[in-house]
Amino acid sequence: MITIKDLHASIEGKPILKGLNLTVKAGEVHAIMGPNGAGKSTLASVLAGREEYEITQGDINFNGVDLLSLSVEERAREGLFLAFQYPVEIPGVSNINFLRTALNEIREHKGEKGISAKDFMSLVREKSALVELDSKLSSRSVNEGFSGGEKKRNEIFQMAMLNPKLSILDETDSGLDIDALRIVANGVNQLKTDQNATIIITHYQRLLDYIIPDFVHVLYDGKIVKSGGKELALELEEKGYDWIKNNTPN
Amino acid sequence: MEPVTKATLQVFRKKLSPTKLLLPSSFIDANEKALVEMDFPNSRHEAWKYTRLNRVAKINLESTPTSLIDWSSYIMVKDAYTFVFQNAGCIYSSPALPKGLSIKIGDEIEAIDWLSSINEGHVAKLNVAHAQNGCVINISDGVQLDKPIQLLFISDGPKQPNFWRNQLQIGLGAKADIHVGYFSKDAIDSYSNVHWSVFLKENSHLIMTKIQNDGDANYHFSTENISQLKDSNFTLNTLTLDGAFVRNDVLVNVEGENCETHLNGAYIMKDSQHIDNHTTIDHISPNCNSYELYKGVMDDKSTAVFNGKVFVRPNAQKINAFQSNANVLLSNDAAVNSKPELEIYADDVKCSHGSTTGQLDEEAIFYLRSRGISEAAARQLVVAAFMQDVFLKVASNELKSYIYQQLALRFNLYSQEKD
Repeated sequence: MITIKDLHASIEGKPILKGLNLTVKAGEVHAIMGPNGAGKSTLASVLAGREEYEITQGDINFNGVDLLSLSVEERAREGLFLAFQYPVEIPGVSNINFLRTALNEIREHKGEKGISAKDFMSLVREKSALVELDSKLSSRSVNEGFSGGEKKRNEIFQMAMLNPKLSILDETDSGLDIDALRIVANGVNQLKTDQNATIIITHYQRLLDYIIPDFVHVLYDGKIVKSGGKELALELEEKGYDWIKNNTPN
Repeated sequence: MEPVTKATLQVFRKKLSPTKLLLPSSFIDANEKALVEMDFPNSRHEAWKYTRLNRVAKINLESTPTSLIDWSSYIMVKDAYTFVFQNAGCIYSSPALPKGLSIKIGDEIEAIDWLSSINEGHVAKLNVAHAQNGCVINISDGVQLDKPIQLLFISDGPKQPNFWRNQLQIGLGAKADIHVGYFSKDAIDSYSNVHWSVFLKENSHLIMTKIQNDGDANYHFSTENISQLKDSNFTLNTLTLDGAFVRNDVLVNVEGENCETHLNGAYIMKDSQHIDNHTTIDHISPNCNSYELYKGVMDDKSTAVFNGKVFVRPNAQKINAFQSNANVLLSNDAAVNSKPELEIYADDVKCSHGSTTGQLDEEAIFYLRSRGISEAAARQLVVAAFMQDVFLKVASNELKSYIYQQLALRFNLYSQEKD
């Protein structure tokens, strides 16, 4: 699915990622954990194509294409999806209209025909039920006046609508109460197939009680310093990030 | 800056033909007498402080014959009573008008048809002196039109001078929706000057939507002089989608009690385009409401001026007047000069004004792009969203979709130029 090799990225001349390697195969769920400032959100931003970051070294192969050569929208059309840590409110742009435009651009890219209004609406009903999102919310302006939980559920709703190959969930659990967490996780789990993959970026182990990862990686100082199975998350939770810091040679 | 000498306006007029419209001769004489004493205003004149006329003053306007154009591509809405002007000619007139709607064109208009109107500045005076064509529209008392009136004014050819003069009268309790479109073709330093006198009788209702889509080489001057009698409701939507240089002067005299006035404007400028909206609402009578909402999106080195005056005369108690001008700058080189002016001489009134200038939310654009939407489409969506509350004031759905279509066209072109 995706192979990240020796990735170095910096912002305003400050190096954040310092030689990151990661391989994710179809059907897998990977969790990336790490302390604040380790580079977790930078990784999500670089994958999605945020232009503020400068890639100084390394490459990313996404299903045979050079991801770094693609624009933000081309990455999305190739099947990459970022669930935002802080979803943006866009007053005046309807959730439904923008999603239909997005879906049709993705379909056109794949050489498929645009979706009819009728099929689109039944897809909206089906997918909003998946994350228990009130269908009234889907016709409002993008995220405008949504609660924190509704915003995160809207992210997963969009993910369900666009049916990406690789989803990156950037701190999706932050700010969620236990019910919202369960709903979001349930949505993600239901969308899982052996054709797609998920990267979960999180500070806490909490979300991983609901979405069971196949692999857990620890990101520290711009590199993956430890990888393991789901038990690594529990170990981290127990010992804290100092355990990693103290065992990593600088 | 080279000073504009007194002779400049007279040199500018040299090759312009005298008016072809049958205006009352006393009116023309008085106008001419004042005009020969005038010159182009310079930046010392408050009303022209941020809009320089040096370049306009230097143009050698000269009317040259052009061949008849295919005007069908300029049509904004299909279902309307349509009239099309190409330079000094009226090239299409709607074949059948309903009872209660009279539209006289050019030499059909008699001197007696013109109602008096005040023409102060050089723009309005030039219009009287050189008007080549135009129309007088009368909507009889009690008539509610089943479809809109659509007037298209197309300026064709380089250095082309165009002076159109129009009058619109809405009868007692009558109701109308009028769409006016301004376009230019093959323009190089062309000049359009259009004047409207609008009279709303008691309890009448008018929505007038102007689409200014003039292209990149035309200087456009537009004046609307409106008078509202008791219980009337007037809306003017001024939508400037394109144009090298556009100056709009709107004066609303709210003469009667219990009137409503809505002035809405949207402008979307690029390159080194310049837009200047000057509005005046003069509240002469009590118990009236006026609402003003102008929004602009400015790219590249474009510049905008907004000057909104509201007068509340001593006897005009219980007035609510609200004014707002909001701008988004897409580039560091774009600039907006926004100046609200309230002059209130009555004591029981509620007036407010506000002006904001900011940037387009780049985070919103990134969000939309991250879902697969192209950058150009994302910008168009966010700009359209910002402009939405102005576009919603356009009553006709067909015209609304025309506006969105033009906007899409504009932003795709924009992205190609940028790439």
